[in-house]
Amino acid sequence: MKSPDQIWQQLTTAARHAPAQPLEPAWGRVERIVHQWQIEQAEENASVELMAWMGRRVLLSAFLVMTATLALCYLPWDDTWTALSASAPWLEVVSDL
Amino acid sequence: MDDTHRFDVAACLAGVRKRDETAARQLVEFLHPLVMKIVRAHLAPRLQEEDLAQEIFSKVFSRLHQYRSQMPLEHWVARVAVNTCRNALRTLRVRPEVRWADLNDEEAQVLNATMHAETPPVDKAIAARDLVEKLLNTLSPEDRLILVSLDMEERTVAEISQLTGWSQPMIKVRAFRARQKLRKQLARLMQEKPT
Repeated sequence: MKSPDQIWQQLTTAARHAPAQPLEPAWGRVERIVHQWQIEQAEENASVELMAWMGRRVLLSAFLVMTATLALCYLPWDDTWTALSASAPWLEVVSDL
Repeated sequence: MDDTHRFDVAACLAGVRKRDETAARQLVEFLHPLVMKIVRAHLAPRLQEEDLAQEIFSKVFSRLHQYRSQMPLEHWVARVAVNTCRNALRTLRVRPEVRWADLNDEEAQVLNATMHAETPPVDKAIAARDLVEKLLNTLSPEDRLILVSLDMEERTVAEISQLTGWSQPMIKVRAFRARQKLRKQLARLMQEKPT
C-alpha cells in the first residue's frame, strides 16, 4: 500500500493529463465583456457629469448667498428706497399694504 | 515575449485608455486564454467560469489606470484573476471531509487503482481530476490556491509569491499544513475503503 503523499502525487499527475477545454472565448463572449465595459464607462461618465453639475449648482448658490449677504450688509438701503419710491410711486402703496 | 509583441500590448492599452472599442476587444481576445486557464485551475466546478472571467475582465478594465508597465501585463492580470478566484471561493462553504461514499464509481476505481498500482491511472484522467477537486474542496481557499499552484500548475514558490503577494515562508508553511490535511483525508479514505 502506498503512502497518502504518493497517492496524492500520482492523482495530481494523472489529473494533469485530463483533456484541456479550449481557452478561446466562446462565441459572443468578447462582445458581452466589451459591452459591459462600455456600460460601465457610460455610468462613470454620467456620474462625473452629475458631480460637475452639482458642483456648479453649489458654487452658484454660494455666490448668490454671498452676494445677498453683502448687499444686505453694505448697500445704503434708505437712499435706495427713496430713489426707488421716487421713480415708482406704486412701491409706497405696496409697502403700506 | 518579444519586443514587437510588447509594443502591440502597449498600443492596445493606449487604445483602451482612449476608450477605443476595437482595442478593448483585442485586449479581451489577447488575455482570455490566460484568464480562463487561471479560472479553470483555481475555480471549484460549482462556480460559473464564464461569469467569473467576465468579472475579472471588468476589474481589469476598471483598474487599468493602476497598471504600470514595469511588470508584464500578463503578470498583473494573473494577479487580479487569482485574487478574484480566491474571493469567489470564499463564498463557498468548505466541505469538512470526503468520505468513500462521496466518490462515484470512477473516482473510487481511480483511488483504488492508485493505492495499489505502480503507474498513475492516466486513462482515467478526468475521474482523477474530479477526485483531486473533491479533496481540494476540503481546504480553505488560500490552502487550495497554494496546492493547485504547486501540484497542478507546477508553479514554484517564488512564482506563487509574485502572483499572490504572499511571502515565500508563509506559502511554504501553508503548503505544509495543507498537505497534512490532505494526508489525513487520504488516510481516512484508505481506511474506509470497502474490502
